[in-house]
Amino acid sequence: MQTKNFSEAQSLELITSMIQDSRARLARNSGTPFLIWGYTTVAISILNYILFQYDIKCWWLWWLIPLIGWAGMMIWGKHDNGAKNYIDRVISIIWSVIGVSFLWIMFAFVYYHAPILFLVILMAGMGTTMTGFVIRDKATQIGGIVAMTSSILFPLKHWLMIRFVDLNDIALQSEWMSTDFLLFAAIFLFMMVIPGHILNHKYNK
Amino acid sequence: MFKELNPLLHSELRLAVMSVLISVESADFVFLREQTGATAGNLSVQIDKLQKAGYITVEKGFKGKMPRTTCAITQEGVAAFEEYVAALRSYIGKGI
Repeated sequence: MQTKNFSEAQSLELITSMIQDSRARLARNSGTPFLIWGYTTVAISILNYILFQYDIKCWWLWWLIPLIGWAGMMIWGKHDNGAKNYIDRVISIIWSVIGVSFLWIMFAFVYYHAPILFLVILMAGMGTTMTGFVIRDKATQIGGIVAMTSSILFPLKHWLMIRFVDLNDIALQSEWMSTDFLLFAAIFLFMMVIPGHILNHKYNK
Repeated sequence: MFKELNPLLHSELRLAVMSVLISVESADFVFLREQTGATAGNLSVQIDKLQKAGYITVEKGFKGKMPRTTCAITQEGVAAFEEYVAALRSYIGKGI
């Protein structure tokens, strides 16, 4: 590219192509954070479900989700593409606020047995929905809305369990509860893994 | 009556730099070089001209241990860019 003067039509063409190219470049791999958090959560949830079947209750395994997720984000963040736009900043703020809320939910779960799976799905669903509207992506919007709506299944399941499961039958109760992990994994699959792949496919062409 | 085109912006490389910066919050030198396809020396000279005109800010910092120059458009730069595009439209609209 030179510093020479050029025609008015060429100027407009250059402006359009530069803006489009910059936006396209910044959108590349935008689904990767969803894939990092989505796959990590699905894997840990299924692992917890399997261990639960053998009566192994490793609650600390859940802490691997933020640990692996943050490590993954740090590694991904090193591949900085050299520019930041307003959308990046808005999305970063949304997920920072939600991230702090997750820590608060964990605290409430550990000390006051707050319904963690319901709250995590609801908050993550809100974040995904907002992200979907900010980036104007249908798959992300749908994934977030499906997650927010599905979050009600956790308290509903608990309500049904109290009414229809013999609370003296510990094994059955345990089996009933462990399916929460599979439900959690399935919702994350729809909320983050599928939209993440769709986003990467859309912008990495 | 045609509006006069800002000579500082009516230059291929400077206009390319401004177009990239108008679409992002900030961009580093490498990003600008890759997007415009310019040589480092030429880009550096044009960035300096835009900075002196008050259209962009240039910050020198580090990314890890590597030096990094980050550019961002100023309010004055946005106004000049908008004025330039409006002037261009008056030319195009009148059949040029």
